[in-house]
Amino acid sequence: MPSFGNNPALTLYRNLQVEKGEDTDVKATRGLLARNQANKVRKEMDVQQPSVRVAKHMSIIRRKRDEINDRT
Amino acid sequence: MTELNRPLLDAPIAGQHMVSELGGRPWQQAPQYTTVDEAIEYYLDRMSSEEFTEQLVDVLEMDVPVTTLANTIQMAGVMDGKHSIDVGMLVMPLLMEMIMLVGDMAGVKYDSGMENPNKGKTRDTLIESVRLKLQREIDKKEGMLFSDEELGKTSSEELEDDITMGDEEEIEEPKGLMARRTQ
Repeated sequence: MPSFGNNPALTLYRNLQVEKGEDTDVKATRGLLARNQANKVRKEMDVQQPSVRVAKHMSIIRRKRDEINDRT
Repeated sequence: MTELNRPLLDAPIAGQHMVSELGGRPWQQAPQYTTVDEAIEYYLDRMSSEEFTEQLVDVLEMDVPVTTLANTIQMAGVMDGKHSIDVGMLVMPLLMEMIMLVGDMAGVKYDSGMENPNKGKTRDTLIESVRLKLQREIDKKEGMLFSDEELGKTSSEELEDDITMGDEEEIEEPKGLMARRTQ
């Protein structure tokens, strides 16, 4: 059952920029006047974009998949 | 055989979709989940249920590609008025990843749908183009043997050609000291 043709799933999957590295480590800030680092990191990661958020979720699931496949 | 020829009477009547009241269908209403995050949450909840997982594994074992499954699932979500098509498109790669995760966890050998099924096969269009090319070559060669111009030439034209050819012929003058003169 070929899914080529009208199915956009493949193109969407391939075009999504999924990062392969570890999740960005957000360090806890100390002090009342310290700049909120989480917001800064969020801005850098561009998580306001829905596609980026989807990519982040995907990278987590993909890592789990890789773990399962490495085990077997 | 008679079963196959029997008309399908439960099929929708042509134009049936236009008779329902506007807004009467779920997809004509405002979607239930408007953001990607809400849609992801909805699908993750649904896909983590045991019932869904079992069915999914069965379908994957039937060699249904993951891409087809993901597209069907998101389309069903749009039809149920759960989310818009835009959100569905954004969520689709995640659905694929989730389906593959379920497949990996169950140890199923599934078809991801990412390999071109026609890879290695000769394209029909290529065969047709080669056939046309050969046909043209054959026609060309046949045309060289019996050209239309030659076949269509009238007798008077032929005669004229012969006359002109005759005029153009040069009479060779004899060379040498002992040669007899013709004129």
